Amino acid sequence: MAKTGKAAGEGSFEESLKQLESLVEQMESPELPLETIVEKYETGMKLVSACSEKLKAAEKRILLLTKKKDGSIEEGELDEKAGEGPKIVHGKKAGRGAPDLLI
Amino acid sequence: MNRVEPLSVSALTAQIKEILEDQVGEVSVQGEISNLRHQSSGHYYFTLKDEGSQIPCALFKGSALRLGVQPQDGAKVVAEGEVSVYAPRGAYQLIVRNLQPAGKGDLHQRFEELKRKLQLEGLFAEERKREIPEFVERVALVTSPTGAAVRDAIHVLQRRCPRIRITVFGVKVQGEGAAEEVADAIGEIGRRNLADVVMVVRGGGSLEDLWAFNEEVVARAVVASTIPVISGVGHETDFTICDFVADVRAPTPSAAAEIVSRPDEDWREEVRGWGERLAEAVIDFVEEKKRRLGDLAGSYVFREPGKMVEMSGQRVDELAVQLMRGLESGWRYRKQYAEGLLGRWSALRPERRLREFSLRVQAALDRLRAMGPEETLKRGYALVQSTDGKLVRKVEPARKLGDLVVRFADGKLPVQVKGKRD
Repeated sequence: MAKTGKAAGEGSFEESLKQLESLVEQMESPELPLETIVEKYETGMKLVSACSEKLKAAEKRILLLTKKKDGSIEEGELDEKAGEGPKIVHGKKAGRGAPDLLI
Repeated sequence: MNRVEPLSVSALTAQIKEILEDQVGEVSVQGEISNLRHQSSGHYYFTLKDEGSQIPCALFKGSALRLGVQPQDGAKVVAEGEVSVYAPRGAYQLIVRNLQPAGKGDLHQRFEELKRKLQLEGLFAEERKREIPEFVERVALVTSPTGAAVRDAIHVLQRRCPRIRITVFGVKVQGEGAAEEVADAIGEIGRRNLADVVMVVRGGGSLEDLWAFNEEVVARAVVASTIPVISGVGHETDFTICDFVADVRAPTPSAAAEIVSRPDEDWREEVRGWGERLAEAVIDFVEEKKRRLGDLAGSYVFREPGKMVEMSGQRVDELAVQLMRGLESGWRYRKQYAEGLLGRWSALRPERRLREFSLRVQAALDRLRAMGPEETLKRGYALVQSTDGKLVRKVEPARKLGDLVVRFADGKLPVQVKGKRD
């Protein structure tokens, strides 16, 4: 929409939802000219579609980051099998052993 | 045991030594250093004491060199090491391997002090707190990658929001360096913009276990974070400094996960609701225009010819066609939407709802088309259409078609183009 400088549905989910909301409110106003209702309806449907798209389930991949001694960050993957608890697939180490308790 | 044969002093001392080393062994003791002696050999000897007792301590050169700090008389410290017996003098002592300042007091006191300090700085103020976005796409967990906390949080997130993208920033959550790792992870997530919300979580434990989350360095990192932070450390009854400075405090890791994950199903319901209101707005609009057109035809158009031209039948019909096209293309999105959803949660019967929706929009369209030119035709206008019902607006296409239909208010008439007149 011109208001945000973005085409319908290109903004974030929350932006799209807000646009949709204000659009419906405009459409519910009795003074809306006939010419614009089609345009608004189309825009609205694009927003509905964009929002639905963003609600689609993503890959279940869980990124695991660990910082190495040299300050670089190593990427791995956390494998979460139901009931088994997380297990590191190719992270740096599988565990750190018992943490030192000092106090 | 045969009591006739007496033990040698050495044998008794050896027994005592064995008992002490076996049964007491490695300890961590808090006390105050006194009577400190630094030998030329590099070893330290001192007494660790509190109000009621004292214990002689030895800190050997090797261990002393590894410490960053020099022991000082009067310092309150936590000494780690093992209890042993020095046989030549028949004395038991603590062989110290590590020494740390105990701070200005015990943990409770340090907790209260830091809490007061940060509160005075205004870091707990509600006005400073950022809002957790309602719709979270990416979440980063700062926690141990192997604990129960990470498992609980991930479980809740994935159950409620399968679409959410999860990053786990693995850190030590307990022991030396844990606070620094937690603080650093929060900073890195912000700098790299890895998430919409940072969740700092850890399972329950004693005050000592949770201590890293009471360190100032963590509090400062939470305050400085460019991304909103939600803290879920320990159980309901555990409060940490991290909880106080976080934008939102959750009682447990699972609760933190719930706060950032409004169920996807709720969002779908909301989007669906807006889609339906969109359709209803079109339907209501059509009804309203129909009513007004009726009014116009009946009344003031005749007094205001300008308005009559504006609302001429052809114009309305044209708009009806446009509207229909719009609705049809809108319907394509709706269909795409429906197909996507059907694959995922057919149990909710969106198919039926969508069919109902389409019927309503179709009905609205039918009404719009039906109302279109009738009123105008009654006033003496006619429409030219192709034989398949399409509106013909210009001379050129009409000539090409040859066969046409002229529509009057009371019926249609097939006609033929005879020739071109300029």
